[in-house]
Order: sequence, then structure tokens, then C-alpha cells
Amino acid sequence: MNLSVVRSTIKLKQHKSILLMLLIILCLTVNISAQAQGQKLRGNVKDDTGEEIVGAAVVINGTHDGIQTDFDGNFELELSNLPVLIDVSYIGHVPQSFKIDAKNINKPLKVFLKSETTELEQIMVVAYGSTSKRSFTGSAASLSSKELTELPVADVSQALQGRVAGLSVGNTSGQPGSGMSMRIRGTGSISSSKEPLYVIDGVPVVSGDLSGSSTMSSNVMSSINPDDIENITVLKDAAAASLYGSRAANGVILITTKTGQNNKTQFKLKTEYGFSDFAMPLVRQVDGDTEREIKREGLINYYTDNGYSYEEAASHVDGNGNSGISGPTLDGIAPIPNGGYSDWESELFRVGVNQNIDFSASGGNEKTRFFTSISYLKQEGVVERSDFDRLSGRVNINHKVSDKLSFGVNTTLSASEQNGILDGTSYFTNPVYGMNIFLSPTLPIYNTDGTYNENLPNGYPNIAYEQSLNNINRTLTKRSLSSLNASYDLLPNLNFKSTLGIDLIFTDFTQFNPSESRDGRATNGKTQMNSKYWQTITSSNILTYNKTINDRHSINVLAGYEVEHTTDRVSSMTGIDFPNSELYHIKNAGQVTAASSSENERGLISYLSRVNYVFDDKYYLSASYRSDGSSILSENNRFGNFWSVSGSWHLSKENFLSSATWLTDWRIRGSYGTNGTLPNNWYASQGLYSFGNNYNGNIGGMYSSINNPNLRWEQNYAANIGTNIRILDFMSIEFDIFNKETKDLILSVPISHTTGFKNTLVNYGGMNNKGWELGISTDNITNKNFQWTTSVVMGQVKNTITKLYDDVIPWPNFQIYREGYSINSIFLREYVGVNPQNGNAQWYTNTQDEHGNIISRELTENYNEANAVIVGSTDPILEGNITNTFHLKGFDLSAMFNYRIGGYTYDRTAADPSRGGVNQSENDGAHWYVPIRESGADRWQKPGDITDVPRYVYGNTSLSGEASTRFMHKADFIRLKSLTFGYTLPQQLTRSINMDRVRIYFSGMNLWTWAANDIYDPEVKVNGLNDWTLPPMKTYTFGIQVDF
Amino acid sequence: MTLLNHIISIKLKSLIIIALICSSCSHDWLNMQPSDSLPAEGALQTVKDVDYALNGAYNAMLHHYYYGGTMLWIGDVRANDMMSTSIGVRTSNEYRFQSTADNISADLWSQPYVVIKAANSILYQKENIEIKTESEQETLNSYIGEAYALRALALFDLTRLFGKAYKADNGTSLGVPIVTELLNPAEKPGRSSVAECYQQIISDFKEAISLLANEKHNGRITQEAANTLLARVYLYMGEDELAYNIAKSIIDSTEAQLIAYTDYENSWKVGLSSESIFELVSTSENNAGGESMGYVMSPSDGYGAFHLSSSYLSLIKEIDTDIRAQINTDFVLSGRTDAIKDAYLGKYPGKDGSNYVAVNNHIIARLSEVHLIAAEAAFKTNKKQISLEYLNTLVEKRTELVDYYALDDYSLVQIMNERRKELVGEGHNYFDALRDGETLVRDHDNFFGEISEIDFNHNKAILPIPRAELNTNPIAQNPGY
Repeated sequence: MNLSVVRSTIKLKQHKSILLMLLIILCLTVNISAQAQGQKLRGNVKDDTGEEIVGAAVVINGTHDGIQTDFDGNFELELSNLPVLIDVSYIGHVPQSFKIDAKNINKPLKVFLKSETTELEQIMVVAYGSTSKRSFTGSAASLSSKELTELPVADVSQALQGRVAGLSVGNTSGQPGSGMSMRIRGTGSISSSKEPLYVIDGVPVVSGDLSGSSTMSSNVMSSINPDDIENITVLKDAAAASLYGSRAANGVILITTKTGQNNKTQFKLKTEYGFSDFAMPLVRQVDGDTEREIKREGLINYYTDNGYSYEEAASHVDGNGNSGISGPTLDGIAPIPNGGYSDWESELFRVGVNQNIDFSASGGNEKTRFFTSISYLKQEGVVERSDFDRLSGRVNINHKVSDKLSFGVNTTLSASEQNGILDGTSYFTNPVYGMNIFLSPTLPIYNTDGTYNENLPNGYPNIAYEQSLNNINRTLTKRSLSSLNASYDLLPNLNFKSTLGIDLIFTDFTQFNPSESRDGRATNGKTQMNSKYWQTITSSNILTYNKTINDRHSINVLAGYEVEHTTDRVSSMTGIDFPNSELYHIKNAGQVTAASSSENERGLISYLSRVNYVFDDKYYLSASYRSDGSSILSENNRFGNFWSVSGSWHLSKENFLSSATWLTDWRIRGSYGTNGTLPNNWYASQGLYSFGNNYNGNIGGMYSSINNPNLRWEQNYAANIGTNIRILDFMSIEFDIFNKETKDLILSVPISHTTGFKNTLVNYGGMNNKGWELGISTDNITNKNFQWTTSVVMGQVKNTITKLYDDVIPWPNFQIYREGYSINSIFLREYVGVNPQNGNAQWYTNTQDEHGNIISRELTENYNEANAVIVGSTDPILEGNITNTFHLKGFDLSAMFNYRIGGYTYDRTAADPSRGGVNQSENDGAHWYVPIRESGADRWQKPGDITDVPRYVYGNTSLSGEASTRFMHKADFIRLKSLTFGYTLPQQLTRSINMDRVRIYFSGMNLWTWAANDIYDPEVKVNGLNDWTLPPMKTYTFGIQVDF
Repeated sequence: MTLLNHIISIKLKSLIIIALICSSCSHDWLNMQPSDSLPAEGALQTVKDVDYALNGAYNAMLHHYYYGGTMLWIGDVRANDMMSTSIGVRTSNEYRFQSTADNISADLWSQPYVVIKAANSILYQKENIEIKTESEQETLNSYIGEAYALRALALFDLTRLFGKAYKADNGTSLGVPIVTELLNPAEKPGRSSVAECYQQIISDFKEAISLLANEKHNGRITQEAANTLLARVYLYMGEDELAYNIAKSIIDSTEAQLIAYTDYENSWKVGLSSESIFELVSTSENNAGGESMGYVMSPSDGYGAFHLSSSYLSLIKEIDTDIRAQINTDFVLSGRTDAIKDAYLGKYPGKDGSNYVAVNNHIIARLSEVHLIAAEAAFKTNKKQISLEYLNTLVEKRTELVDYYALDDYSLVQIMNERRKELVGEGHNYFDALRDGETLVRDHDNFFGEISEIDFNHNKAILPIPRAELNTNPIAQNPGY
């Protein structure tokens, strides 16, 4: 009797096609025959978490005779000829064999199958297919859904932070729905994209910020529901990524969504509720009394510096007059508000709330499998009026028409709405900016009658009042991402697969400032709307040929052709003069002041091929080649060729190591290959004359870019050597060293402004990233009731610019790109602290000769005499994570700490050179209205004081608050990045209420942090910059998941 | 056999499908053009195209770092008649003479060069424009004249911002790079002397005047405008006779009329007054935006970053009936706790009833200035009576007082003070105060600058070359920076 349906309840971590294959094999091999006579063996099969496995195969060794476990994991098998060997197996688990003889046949057989996930047999998704980890010759990291989905994140990239060796994830904004910035194995480019390529279900997709607003960051990846994701593979080296050719130079993140199993329909309901707050205190201001004390001192210092006696100055400052001084008094610049000091932080911020409901159904039969889900997520941010919600649905269907032909469709639809603040930059309505720059406790939030104090004395807006108005900053995102594929076996060994991907994204950004608001009052209300329509169509046609000769030679050949076309259409309009503060659509506007639309297109044609050869399961060789032609480059330089060679040697299979029984497995790997990068500007190679430079209502044109026909691909040459060792079936070690050389860097080189242009793109320069990554995981305790595993991940990347046109000082002017140094070098004047005699700030002159060697290092109190030098970099010496996972019966606990040692961050909120000293929160009195940070309490007060904080003087002109190493801080930290604690109800209980599985859990992010510098959150932007974006959040989430 | 045939036929079909997909995208498919641009080569072909290119140049001129804002207020807050509202606001670096190569906006340097690029793009193509009729040729000539005039004005502005005053050393010190053709990206033109710059400016203005049609063209540079600007240039150089001759001939021939007393206040709200010679026209669609002169200045709708000084206020209140004193408003900025009222200039109220203060015309030349040039140049060339008449004509329009100044105690100071009163907020005062070698004394109340007295020999009298230029072009920085 052939059993056609194999049931399973466990969510597998493998790619669907492999799973399908395995299922088919299983179906063919498991031939269950009724054993007419003999003794019955009874037993039960569980997995290593103690959960019953449904559909595990229990087969007599060497035959196809056997049975499967039932819903409770139990089986009964009649055996006739004892003794006999019984094989128990289940997909994704290590098979086990038991000898059954007359003595033990009557004892129930309790089987615990260990999950394969820690084993080297694990299946992993790679470029254009999947492979076993054993035969993978490149460098990649694989993460399963389990590790990702219990964190309260809207966007999966947030869950990747700190998790993968060699992957740095920077905070773009702590606002709900905002994105993260990623670097795989260092920064690979200067002016082109540094972000990895995302591939979802085999289709390269757009990522990043598509909001059409330069003022609010919104991440298009947050349109993908993390709960739909089965697996993520981070491709790191050339062998792994070069088949993606261009765009793969910064690594590739492959996302595979869930798929149905060949079993009964499974339902899953997950609901989560949680809270969020700043992971670290936002801004540490001094209290009102201290601020007044310091500002009083500053005023007195100002008047005494201008020739008045201390007594005269103090009398005037305290408002007692009669000193002949005209100028501000303490109550003029920092009065005690009538209602007492203001607490801006509690006025402007709240506790954030997260909610998530996810429902999915999956299942199938021999021919058709499906997965479908619907999910609703809502996150209310810590800033009033900031939130993100997303409704998303997914359908994945695979259908087998015949043994040869199958179809598949993966599609997701999502609609999200993000309301936020304009953060990051110096916007009036950004409370982070406000708290740093102009909201001090001495400013009244309310008038005495309880209404808002609409205009602060310093001229800045009252953000609490602004938050009470109908200021709108909203991004709506609708996305439809579909891929359709058809696979046909032309010959038993030759498969043709065609995939069509359609990614449609519509974003709409609306900014409305009503007439009462600061930004709207000049125009009696103002609305700006930017709509963006993004469409990427990809078609790939791949032939694969598989052949195994003499059981020892296995060959896999792939050849394909791919085209991609992208349209990016934007339209924007601005209207002013609105009848009220509710009707913000432009139809209500008295006047439409701007309207515009434009469309950009980009095309890519690619030819690709790959050959894999395996000999005797010991030697693995792989070579790939891809040729990409892009519309971005001029006709002569359009095509770039990218290739890779790689190999691995399964040493532990060799006879000379067969005696080393302690060595469970040992492989070494090596790869070398190339990738390419294109300029960001889709018309970068063309000299253009642009319209829209209108004047007085008439058409205006202007030469807008310089012809650049020689622009070529930026090329990456990456080498990787790695090894995987497993010792005593207890400890796994993975170690990689890599060297990534970037040549022909596409650089936006500044040119003399006398040309009428500011810069032009050239292929000039080189960069190197080298480093290593180490991952060690141990199964400390493994028994059926208690398991404990530990993994330690660490890595280092060293970046060097090997060739550069000239020094480049990128915005915002605290770094330098200089040949021979890291791209993350910090370039600042060197602050030496305060002269104890007079309280003035001091710097080193660091005078340099024409070669940049420092020839003099005098102390100076004149900022302009000091020269900026490279004082360090934002590169860490080491970063990684330590994860411990415990299982005790139904309980599970997982804690991941991530850490960073070495490097610096720079605090732009304290010092900003952008407007000659505006926007500084540590300026020693240069701007009278700026609130004072806790550090300000340590100011120099009298001769002999030893401190780093200069004398506080009203209208300080010493430039002590201008950019210098005073605002550079150590970046070391360790953080409890994620903590998950869960309990799975005993199955007897869940079964009794007709459930398969019920789990309740708590998960937290960023719950605890130690940072060398605790003024601001250590997880800043990926370039080491702390600015006015919302910092990362601490979140507490409670969830329950029910499978039935 | 049938099975084999079957397989072959399927293979063939598949191959045909693949071939079809492959061939559907030839490599021409990779030629893409943006939706808002033409290839640079050959963008200017017709007279109309030249007109569009000129509009592009005016658009660049209206940029808030040029005549839309910075160029104007920098000429005011560095002088004695206007002051920044407080430390740290926009304009306060300039007010306090705290500009450095790093904190000065590079656009103040680059934006005039964008205008020069636009002008050069026209001059480069001027021989290759399709001409169908004679009147087209005339139009084209006039357009080419505009291009010359724009190039001259941009170079003049660069020279007076970044180069020492001509009279300090007859232009022997460093001016700015002179650019008369389209540069390729690798070029790094050096600084010419101030005298060479003035030579180029004069030659371009003269070329412009010879080509420009003698007719009014609102919002665009005209022959009269080029003449006015050339007269101003001569005045800066001390070529007073030449300045006088041009100014006189403009006054004698112009259709423009000094604004009438009763129209004065309203003229700022409409733009293009009766005495307009050249002003950049703002519309609600095309204006200098949130960093414009009007927005930076407006205390109610913008930043209120600078206002009239006590020195100016006492000067303008010399005559009770002076209409110019009446357009200004006293305003307590955003509920200041010290309740200090400052007087804000009323020249940028937002025009045509627009409630957006960024929508103002930015005046570059008007008949009042021509009168003042004539008066000053006449005085300096010993034509005191003529000078007095020019000045009194203007004063009468503003105060309704006839023959206010008398010959007995008539002095250059009176002329220069009248310039301050008339042209405040239009970017003149700082240059006027220094160009003749006088010491500018900044003696207004609540002064909080670094430098209270300055003349044209002071290093800080001119601006630093922005770092962005020095980084790409090894030209000398101005001394003292």
C-alpha cells in the first residue's frame, strides 16, 4: 500500500522546491505494507523540543516497509523477523536507527529526532536555487523565521541588526516604518549605492526609501510582513553573489517566503501587544534652576568682558538696573515660567504601543500546495502623532501539472500608512531637534490661561503646540509584489524555469501645515504632495542541467537570460491658502503654486551561467559568469562582465582523517570573483540640458550635467577563504577571511565651481575592505528536557581607500575620504580641553606641511588657527553578538547581546558646522536660547578649574562649539538586543481544546545597554553620525501564537 | 520514436519561446532618455531656445543665495543700517563678520558662476542659431546682449564680494577667476586681478549695450539696465565722469519716472514700479522660497532674522514727512520676553496681495539709483549745482519738501546718507560705505558684532573664498582667512 500523503506539522526551514523533492522521494520510498503476522512495536516520535512529530517515517531498514506517526506522534508497526533495524526519519531532522529484538520489542520506543538546523546538512537558499550547506562553496549566513519573527519589527532588516557576522545595520530613524541602513563586509563604494540587493523569492526587488520625501524616511521593505518570511540568506562573498552581477557588489539579501506543506491545512494565529520607549535617555538637559544659574553666569561674564564690574553686571543681570548697562537680563533670556519650569520631554513624547495580528493558513496535497496569510500591524511611536500601520496579505501557490511541469505564484499585497515627524534634520517640528536646540525648561509651554504659548521668546515654534495642530507628514505605500514561475523538465536532467517578477509600488507623501502652524502661517496653510509610482518588471529564463556520473561525479550547469525594466514616475504639487486646518487636499487650496511630474527609466539585460562540479562528495568546484548591460552607461561602456570561481574540500571525508573521530566534519572553502556597481543617477553618462528652471512664468532651461561617455562599471574583486569545523558533534566553528578590492570607483568629484557645476562623476580610485568573521556555536546541554546552546559571532572589517583623486570632505563635514585611510576616518580639529587659567577652549594647531605631515602641535585658543586632522575613525575593532538559547520542557529563553568594541561616533547635535554655528547644543553660550546639557554643569568657572567644558559666556564668540574632537565619542557598547521568553503549553492540554500548539511569549528589544558614551544611543547612523533622528527604541512585546 | 519526436517538439517549442523572449529586447532597448532634459549637445538651436536659456539664467539669479536673498542682505547687515536680530539667526555670521571659508555658503560663490555658465552657453552657440527672418536676427542680437550683460553683472558681484575695492589699490589685488567660455570639468581658472575683472565687466556691458534693443522688457535686463549697472561700476572705480555721463543720459532719455510720493508704499506691494529699470520678478510658482529676502526678514511670517538699526531709524526720521519711514513696521519678534520692538523694513511684504512673503520682486536697478549716481558723480566732478538738483528731485519725491538740500552746506555725506535712506535693504549700503575708502562706523544700539569700524583695507572687508572652491582649485585665499 502506497501512502500518498505525508503529514507534517513542523514548520520547515527549507526551500520549497527541495522540500517538494524530498516529499516526493519520501512518497516513493515509503511503501507501507501490512505485516500480517508478527509482534507489534509501539512507539512515539518527538523532536528535540519535545514536540510530537506527525508523519515521521518508521521504516524497516533496507526495505520500503514501514508506517508513519499519527497526529500524536505515535506509531504501531508489526515486525515479523527479529532482530531488525528500524530507521526513523523526518524531513529536516537527523535520522536514527534502532535495533529491535525480542527483548525490547514490548517496550515502547521513544524516539527524539534532532533538528538538522545546526547541522551542516542544512539546506540553504542561494542565487538562482538552493543547495545543501555542505556543498556551498561561498560565504553566506542563513537565518530562519523563528529567529526573526518574534521581534516587534515592521521591517525585517531591523531584526537583522547585530545578528550576522559582517553585516552592519545602522539606525536611520527610530520612527515607526522608517528604514535601516546596511553594510555587508564594509563600505564598498563612495558615491554609488552601499546597500545590499534584496531578492525576494528569486526576484530582485527595490529597497530603501521610496517615499518621495526628502524629509521623512520611509522604508519600502516595511511593506513586507516579516511573518511571511521563511528564511533569509545573507550572501557575502563573490561566489555567493556574483551571479547577481551588477548590484551585488554590496552583498545580497535573499528572502524566501513561506510555502505550504503536503499535509492537512494548518492555521496559525499570532497576536502581539507591546510598548516602546527610548532605549537610552534622549537628551540630558540640566534642570531649570541650573540652567538659570549657568545663564546668569554667562551674562555676567559677557558684561564683565565688556568692561563692567562684577557688581554692575550682576545687578543688571538680576534686573536691579541702575548700572548703565543696556542689554539682556537673566529674566529676559531665561525667566522662570509662570507655571514653573517646563518639562518638554514628557510633553512631547509618550510611550509607544505596538500591536500585531497575523493569521495564516497553509497546506496542500500532492499536486497543489499553498500558503496564505493576512496580517495587521500597528505601531504608535513615542512622538505624538507618529504611527505606522500595515495591512498585508500573501498568497503563495505551487501547482504540479504533471511530473514535468509545475507552476507557482507568490504574491503579496500591502497597504501601509506612516505618520511621522520630519526628523534627522533641523526641522522646526522635530522634537529631537527641539530638545537639543531650543526647548529649554525656562520656556513656558502654556500661557497662564492654559492655552499654548504659541511663540517662544527665542523665535522658535512651540513644538507642543505644533503637535496639537493638524500638521500632517504622511506616507502611504501600496505594494503589489508578485512572481510567477513555470518550471518544465525538458529532459530528465534538463529543466527550464521561467520567472516573471512584477513589483509595483505606489507611494504618496503628504505634508500639510495648517495656517496656525509655523510652517503654514506664511501661506495660510500649505500642502505638498509627492506621488511616486515605481514599477520593476523582471523576466528570467534559466536552463539547468543536472547529471551524476558513476555516483561520484555530479555536475550542475545553469545558463540563463534575464531582463529588467524599471520605471520611476513621480509627480508633485504644492498648494497654499487653505480654508481650514482639516481640508488639506489641494482641491481646497486657494492657489496651486507648484506642480510637476517626471519619469525615469532604467533597463538591464543579462546573460548568466554557472557550473557546479562535485567529485565524490569531497571536492566541490563552482564557476559563474554573468554579463550585464545597463542603460545607465553610454553605449561603449554598457556591458560589464562578472565572474567567480570557488571550491571547497570536504577534508573530513578523506581517509587520512577517518581515524579522527572527534572531528565530526571539516571543510575548507575558497572563492574569488567580481561584482559591479552602477552610479545612482540613471542618466549619469549623459550631458543634459534640463527644463523646469522657469522664470516669471516662462520656460527656462539650463545645462544641468556634464557629458560623461567614459563612465564605466565600478568593479569589485572579492576573495574569500573559509572553513567549517564541527568537533565532537558539539561545537561548530565557521571562520572566514576576506579581501574585497574595489576598482574604478565611481566618484562624484568636486570640480571648480567656476565651471558652473559643482561636481562630475569619474571612474577613479580604489578601495579595499579586508576582514574576518568567526562564528562558534556549541550545544552545551542536550537532553530531552533541557537544551542549552550558545553562539558567539564576531567580525572585523578594515577599510582603506587605496586610490583617490583628492581629499573629499563629505557632508556633514566631520569625515574625510583620503587615500591610505579608512573611508570612515574622522577629520576634525583636535580639542584639548580648557585652559585652566582663563576657561577658554584650546585646540592643537596641527600645522601641516604640503604632504600633510604634522609639523607643529602648539596649543591655541583660536579655533581658526587649529587645523583638522584625521583623529580616528568610526570603524569598530570588533563587533558581533553572543546568543544563548535555553529550552526547558515547554519553556524557551533566548537572549542575544550584541556588542561593538572600538571606533568613535560623532555628535552632530552638539556641534554643527553647517550654518556657521547655528544648531549647536553645546556651544558655551554662543546661542543664548539653547538649553544646556548636563555636561554644561562642568563648565569652567574660576582660574584653576580643570574641566573639558569652557567658560559659559552669553554670545560666546570663541567658536568652542564648532566641530572638533570635543564632540567625538567612543562607540563601544554592549546591548541586550533581543530577549525572548516563551512557554509552549503541554500538548495534552492543547489537544484537549483541539489545538496543535499554543505558545505564549514575551520578547524585548534593546532592553539593556551599556555604552562607553552614554550621552546618546550608541547605535547611530551607519556612518557613525548622531543627528536629530529618533534613536532606537526599547520595546516590550507580549504575544500568543496558536496553531490549529 | 513518437516519444523522441514528442521530446524534440517540446524542446523546439521551448527554444522558440526562449529565442522570442531574448530577441524582444535588443540592445537599443537600453537607450533611455530622461523625461525632463535634452541631450546637452544641440540643445540651443532656435531663437526661442536662446530665450529659454536666458530664463534659466534669470532663474539662477533669483536663487536665494544670489539676488533672491543672500546677495541683498549681505550688502545690508554688514553695514550700519540693518542688524541681525540675535546671535545665531540667519545673517548673524555676516553681521558679526564671522564668515570663514568653512561656514560661508559655497553657493554665494557658485551661483553667480551658474549665471555665467548660462550666459556662456548662449554666447558659445550664438553663431549657430537658426535665423529665418530679419526680425529674428534682431531678437537674437538683443538676447545675446542680455547674455553679455548677465555675465558682466555676475562677475561684478563676485568681484565686489571676494575682491578688494577697486579704489583701494587701483585693482592690483586679486579679484576672481574670469570665465568667458564653457569650461570642461578639469579646468581650474586662476584669480585675475580686480582691474582685469573690471575690464572684463566693462567690456561685457559695452558689448551688451551695443546689442540690446532699446526697449522695455519687464523682468529682463535691458539696454537701460546695462547702462545703469555700467554707471555703478564706474562709480565703484572712481571713473566719476563716465558714471555721470551715463547716468545723465539715462535720466534725460528714460521713460521711467521716480515713484510718486503717494504711490511709494504701494509700489513695494506690486513690483515693477514706475521707476523700475531691472528687477527680478517673483511669482508664486518661481520665487526664492523659504530662504528668500522676504522670508528671512519677515518677523511675522518668516525668520525675522534682521531689521533696521537705530542708526538708520534716526537718519530716516530726520524729515517727518519722509514716506520711506512709513513703510516700516515695529514688531516684537515672537513674543520676546524683553518686549523689544524692532523696526522691520517694508520693502518685501509679499507682492500682488500674495500672503507668501517670499514672493517679492528683487530690485537690481531703478531710477532712484541713477539719480543718486548722477548726484554723486556730479559732486565728485565739481558739478555741485547739478548734483544738488538731482538729489533734491529725489528727496522731493520722498518727502514732498522742495529744495531740501541747499548749496551752502551741501556735502558728499548728504548724498551718501540719501543713498542709505533710499537703497536700504537692496544690497547697496555696505559696498557704498566702503568703496571710496571711508571708514564704516557701525554705531547703532545693541550692536553685537565683532567689528565696529572697518574700511576697505581691512582683511575682513571682503569675504573668504569658500572652502569648496579652494579644495578643487588651487587659488589663493583672501588674506586674514
